[in-house]
This record gives sequence, C-alpha cells and structure tokens, in this order.
Amino acid sequence: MNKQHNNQNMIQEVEHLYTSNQPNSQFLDQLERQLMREALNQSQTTKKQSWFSLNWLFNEGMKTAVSLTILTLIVGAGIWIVGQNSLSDTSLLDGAAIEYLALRKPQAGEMTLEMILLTEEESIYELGENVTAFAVSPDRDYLAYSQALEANNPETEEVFVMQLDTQEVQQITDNPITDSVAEWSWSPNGRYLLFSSYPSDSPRIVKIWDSVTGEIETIEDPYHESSAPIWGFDNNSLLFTQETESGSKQYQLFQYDFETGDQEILLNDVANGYLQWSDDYSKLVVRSGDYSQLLLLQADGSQIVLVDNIPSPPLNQFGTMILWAPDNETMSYEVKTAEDHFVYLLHADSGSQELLIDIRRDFPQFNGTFRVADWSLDGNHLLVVTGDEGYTSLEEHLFSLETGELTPLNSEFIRVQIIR
Amino acid sequence: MQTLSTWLTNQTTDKPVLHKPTVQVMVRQAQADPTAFAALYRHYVLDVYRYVFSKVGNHMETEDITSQIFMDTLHKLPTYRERGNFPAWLFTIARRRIADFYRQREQLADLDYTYVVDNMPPLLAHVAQTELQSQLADLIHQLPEEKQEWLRLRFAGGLSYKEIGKLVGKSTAAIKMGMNRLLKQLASELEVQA
Repeated sequence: MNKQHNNQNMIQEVEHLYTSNQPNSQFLDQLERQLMREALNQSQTTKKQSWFSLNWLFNEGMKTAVSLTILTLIVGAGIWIVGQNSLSDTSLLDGAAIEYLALRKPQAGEMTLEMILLTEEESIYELGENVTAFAVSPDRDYLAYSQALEANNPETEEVFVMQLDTQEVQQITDNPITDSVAEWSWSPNGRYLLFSSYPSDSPRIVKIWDSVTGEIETIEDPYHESSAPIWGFDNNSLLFTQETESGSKQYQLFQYDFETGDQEILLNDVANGYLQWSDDYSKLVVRSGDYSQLLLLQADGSQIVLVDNIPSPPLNQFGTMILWAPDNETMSYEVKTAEDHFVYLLHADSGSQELLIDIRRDFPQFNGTFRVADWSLDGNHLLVVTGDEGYTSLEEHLFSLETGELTPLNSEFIRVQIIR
Repeated sequence: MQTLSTWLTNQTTDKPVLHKPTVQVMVRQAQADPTAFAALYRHYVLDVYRYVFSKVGNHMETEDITSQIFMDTLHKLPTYRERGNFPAWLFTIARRRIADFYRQREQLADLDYTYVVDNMPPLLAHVAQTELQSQLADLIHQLPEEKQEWLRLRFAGGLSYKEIGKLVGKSTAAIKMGMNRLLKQLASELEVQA
C-alpha cells in the first residue's frame, strides 16, 4: 500500500467511497416523468390561483368576514390597527415598495409567515407553515423566526434567520433535541441573536449568532443552573437570575460581560427569571423575590419600586405579566387571584397605576382565561387571547382602551410587520 | 425525448460544471414554467441521491426520500428567491426529509433517536473495493457525526465549501480549513494503520 496519502489522494479515495453508489436508471426516469406530470399540473393550477394577496383578502376575505372591521397590522413590536378602508391609503404606507411580513392563520393551529411586496400586492416569499414566532432585528436587517418542521410538534422547531435584503435563509439551531427555540432574542443593536442549548450530557450552553460573521459563538455560561439569559444593558452582556445557594430559592440578578468575563450583582432578592425589557432596551422590570413588588431598573443604575403589595398568588400563566407599550413608558400588567383578575395600566415615570379591565366583571364569559398578549403600535388597543381552561383552544380579540370593547378577530386575520 | 438514463449514460463525468448564472437561469425558467424543472432535476439528482444514500444506506429508502425531496422542491420553487445558493436551499430540503425519515423510523421502532444514529450501519463499508477504502470507510465511520456530514455534503452532495457553510451554520473559511485538516487527519491515520 502506498504510504504517501496526500490530500489529493485522499480526496479521490473519499470521493470514490461517496460516489460509487449509482441509482437505478429506471427509477430516475420514472421520477422524472412523475415530476413532469406534477409540474404540468402545477403550471395549470398556479395560473388560476391567487392563493393569497391583498385582493384576495379584500374580495374573498371580506365576504366571509363581514364582522371583521379592522385589520391588524403589527409594526415594529406592536400592533398597528387600521380601519379596512384606510389600508388603501398609500400615504400611510408612503406609497413606496414596502415589504411586510404577514403571519397568516389559514386554519386554527397553522401559521404561515409570508413576505409580501405591498405595492404589487403579491407574496414574494413564503417562509412556510408552522411558523411559531418571528421577530425582525432592531436594525431591520434580519428576520428571525422559529418554525416546526412537523406540524404541531414543538420538538421539531428550529430557529432560522433571513437577511431581508437578499432573503438568504440560515438555520441557526441545528439540533431539535438540545437547542431551545423558546429562548432566542435579538441584541439591542440587532447584530446578535442569542439562544440557549441544552445538551443531554453537559450543562446549558449559551450561543450567539453574529450576523456580521455568520458564525455562532459559544460563550462561557457561568450560571448554567440559572434562568435563561437575556440581553444586558449593552450588546456585550447578559442577564441571569441565579440562586444564592443551591436549593435556597433566593435569587440574585447578575450581569455577565461575555467579552471580558466580568460579573456584577445588580440586585439581590429577585424572582427567578422575571425580567422584562422595554422595547428600546432602556428600562428593565424585575420582580422582587416575594413577588410583591415590581422594580424598575434603568441603564444609569437607578432603581425604583413601581408597584408594591401585589396580591398573591402571582399570575404565572404564559410566564409573562408585564407588557410594555410602544411608548416605552406605559405597561399593562395582570393580577390574578382566586377571586379577582385585573388588568392595570402602569406608568414607568410616576409609578401610578389605573385599573383597565376587571375581567370577571366585564367579561365573565371567559371565566378568567383571559390574557393580554400584545399592544397596538398606536397604544390604543390590546391584543387579548382567551381560551378554555387549558388554553388548548385559543381565540384572539382586540380590546379598545378608548371604548373598553372587545372585538373578536376572524381566524383569517393577519399580523403584519413592515420591514422597509 | 431523451430520457434521463440515456442522458446519464452519455455523460463522461458525473455532472457538468455549471456556473452560478446558469443555475440561476435554470431556476428562473422553472419558476416561470414548472415543466422546465427537468433541467434542475437532471443537474442535481445524482448529488441528492448519493447524499441521501450516504445517510440511509439502502436504495429502496433512498429512492423514496429522493422522490419526496424533488417533489418538495418542485412545489416550493415558486417561493424560492434567487440568492445564488440554490444547492444550499435544495439540500436544506433534503436534510429535512432525511430527518423526517429518521423520526418516523424512530417512532416505528420505538427507539431513541440517538440510539438509531449511533447504530447506523457503516454505510461506506458496502462500497469499499480495496483494503485501503475499507480502512478509510472505518475511519470515516469513527469520525464525529458533524465531520461525517461535512464529508457527505462535499463528496456525495457535491456542495462547495460556501454551500456547506450555509447549511451547517459555519463560515466558508471554517469549513475549508476544517475539511483540509480532516483529510490530513484521515491520511495520517491511514499511514499509522499501514
């Protein structure tokens, strides 16, 4: 045997191993014929179908959705609500070739995310079905989304990133068993995407995808027994809540600079994992260890107690209680006890609060299964999700802060995020 | 019409090297007229077939999966937007289909996915014709799955370093250097065995 195996020889040998399996030629011909039949069929049907366009939405959608008087558009981090007639008002949309993302729900349980060129009223990119969440980076250059590769199977979800100008898609997570798709977030400057991985044979790994280099960096995670990380007060640091001692149930809030390795305790005695950034990353809400207070932290290090004496037990359904309004000054927050279920408005500058919804009184039909899910961009509406006891069957509504009315949203409604 | 098998027989090499603009034209034509998909199919079917075979190890299942991949590709092609990386897009579909196959097999066999992967047959050993190739096949089988995947994508799938990088989430340079090191490592281990 020739002992001199240089790279060129190796390439030939390896190539031989991988290319010596030839397909059956009959199979190839058969598949080609099958594809051509399908292609022929497709070319005939695609001409007839305009399966989704604004025309379809207005012509066909309106027939079945007479009661749908509003179309919900999510712009930025909030929902932008316009009347059905004003959508055609191009001044709203600047008359330019504006692309936007639409999260469409053809049927309950299905989500299809599309990119639509508004002025041409055509879908220019379809990310596919089973999209579970999406977020445009703060610099508007990228779209991150999670998508289940199998319908209704969260274990097959992966996170993808698409460069919006080229529509180049990259899969970020690569292991549905270990990579968590629930814990991803853009950095404040939009350059990095943070996510966690949970290998079966080692502690949690924190990974950061860098949009500039396209590489995924695995960073040291000194708090692997802690809450999932979120971004810190800059683009180089992460925040975690961690037990002071194992089993103590007493938590501290840490900031960890992954560039320098510096660690800093920002707060003692906080609730585990209860951290909520305003959309502009200027203010952070933290909950006290006994769940009775909401604390506000700002980048300058100042802390104020926003709310004292929150009744127990805390609301923990869906994990989120605070929702920042688009003005980055107002929040909605829910308080649910055995007897009551309230939604309050809370003002960050003064700490003042006002009762917005008394759910058991105003909407007794939902028997307490009522959750505020998002704000409209103009701050005038809330997206509300209701459901049965187990939240297995969800319905969406819009709550008007002005009138206090709850309007059901048709299942065809779309959420749209303008990206240009 | 010339059938694919005749076309294949007439090929002196595995497949013609097409420049990116040519592939782009083929994609655009197929988008405008799905019946023009045949050109893309013919250009990539061997790469896809070999890649699938290198993952599943038998012709019957490879044929099933390859059919699904091209049917998916045909259906999704209208949504594809030219970014100069059609092969990476095609192999993304291929990888998903193969992942589906393993998930289904796992469900059928009621086995843990890791167990299935760990106990996959050393596929390359089937095709080794010389002692050297047998040894090489064994060495490749002992590599971490990630590195085996690089080799499959490169040598069975015929992908460029850039395309592999896109698929596995690494930079082109990282793949190029990693592949170079990998081949050197294999050569070195073969020499030790010899």
